[in-house]
Amino acid sequence: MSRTKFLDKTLLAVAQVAERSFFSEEHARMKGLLQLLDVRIKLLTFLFLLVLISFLHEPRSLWMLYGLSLMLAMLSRVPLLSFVTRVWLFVPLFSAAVVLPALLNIITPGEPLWVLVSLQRSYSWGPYTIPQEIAVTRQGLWGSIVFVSRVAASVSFAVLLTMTTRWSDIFAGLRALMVPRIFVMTLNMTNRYLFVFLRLIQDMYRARKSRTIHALSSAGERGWVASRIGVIFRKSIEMSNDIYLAMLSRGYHGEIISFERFRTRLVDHLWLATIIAFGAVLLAFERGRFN
Amino acid sequence: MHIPDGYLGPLTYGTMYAAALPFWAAASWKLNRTLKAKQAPFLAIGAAFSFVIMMFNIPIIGGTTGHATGATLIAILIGPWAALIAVSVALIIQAILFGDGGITAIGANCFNMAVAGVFVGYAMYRMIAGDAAVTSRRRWIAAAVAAYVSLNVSALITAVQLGLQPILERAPDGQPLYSPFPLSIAVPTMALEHLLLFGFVEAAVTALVIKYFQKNDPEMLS
Repeated sequence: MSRTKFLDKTLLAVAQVAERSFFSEEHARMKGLLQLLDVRIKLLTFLFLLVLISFLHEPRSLWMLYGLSLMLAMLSRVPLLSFVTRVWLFVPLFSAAVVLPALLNIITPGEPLWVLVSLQRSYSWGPYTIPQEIAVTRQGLWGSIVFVSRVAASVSFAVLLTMTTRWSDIFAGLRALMVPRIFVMTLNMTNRYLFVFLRLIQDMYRARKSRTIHALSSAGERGWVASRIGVIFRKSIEMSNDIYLAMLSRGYHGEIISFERFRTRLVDHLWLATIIAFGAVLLAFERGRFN
Repeated sequence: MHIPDGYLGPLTYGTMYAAALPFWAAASWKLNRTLKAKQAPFLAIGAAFSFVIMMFNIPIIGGTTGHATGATLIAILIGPWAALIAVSVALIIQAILFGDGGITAIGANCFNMAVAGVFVGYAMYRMIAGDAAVTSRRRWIAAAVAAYVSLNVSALITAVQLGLQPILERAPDGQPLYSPFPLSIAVPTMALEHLLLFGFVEAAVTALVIKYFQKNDPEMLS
């Protein structure tokens, strides 16, 4: 069965995209703090928070921001367990595994904390050095904690944004970030037609799986996948022409007219002021400590 | 190859946004002149196609599977400027909606895959294919070589950006703040896996799709 594993993997990848979309729509409809906000203000503040996280140097500040993301998730009625799992399961856990060698003085030289192995002598090849005592260094440990905390805090806010905002609203809100209308429209249309393609792939793969009693050779299977990519592209071009004609018949003549109407309220202004003040204080506190 | 948030410092991701911006502007200008009103659905469908290419897992040796990024393939099929926008839009959607790649790293990821990947792939393809007939063997060989080189160039630029972090962006006492691996680790690690494995997957998928069109629909390649 391992020879047809590629069929299952593709079907799984398609299902995961659909599941994420459904999951986000479900939480975006709930009545919570983040769902109340004007999407433009929300995007601006989340972008501000992501940039702020990238400027911070202290684990404590990063943990404070991570804590803020958890608090906001609770206030926005996002189930905490699924939120934390979704945040940690991929990027931060992967980053924590990747960063493990950087704990050692082979990668990050510095003050040794725990000596793991003692060799008879040190070894050097060009830029690479294996010291006589391989140890976890204070600098390596500190750097790795900062790195994983930063990744976790960033991913946490990125996930929170997608879980509490309808995807079509995110694209509409991008106009507030001065993204040209043609890009926003392309993003919106891409998002819509992506699901048409996913359905198409799912149908092709399910049909193939249901007809499979014996796998082809690897070369044969690769040829089949390539032919499916070709079919998708041909359908893409046909669909692009059909959509263009459908747009023309609805009065499209190259100018994009948007019907989004945004309205900021007191809660948006309070939110904006709070987040900017919080960020400024955090940054000032850190920089004060470093200078 | 998608760099997540937290791996690059502000100096690097800011520079990469600035580096990608003129290419986005040039592509919009170029497409406004050539594609006219048809561009919106064409670009959106191109971007959706770019997104789904990464979902097609193909069998490799020993029951393992892999997927292509499709930068060179899309450049050959829809031209480099439309491909730049299509791959960028796919990367932006992956970053904002699916957490594949960071939001602060959108500039870097787009530069590495949508700018460098697309233009290196397209230039190599044009150079090797020359005036060869659409259905000639030289065309699919050109596509395979171009895809292999393009993916490796993208991987190399990504590795350099990551490897520069311990030098460019560190705390006043010299401790790394972002990706902690120096160039001497980041470059060989990324280069090896792309030279030995992912480059061949990219080349195989690109060449097989080009061969499919040569056999079934050569007009798509003219």
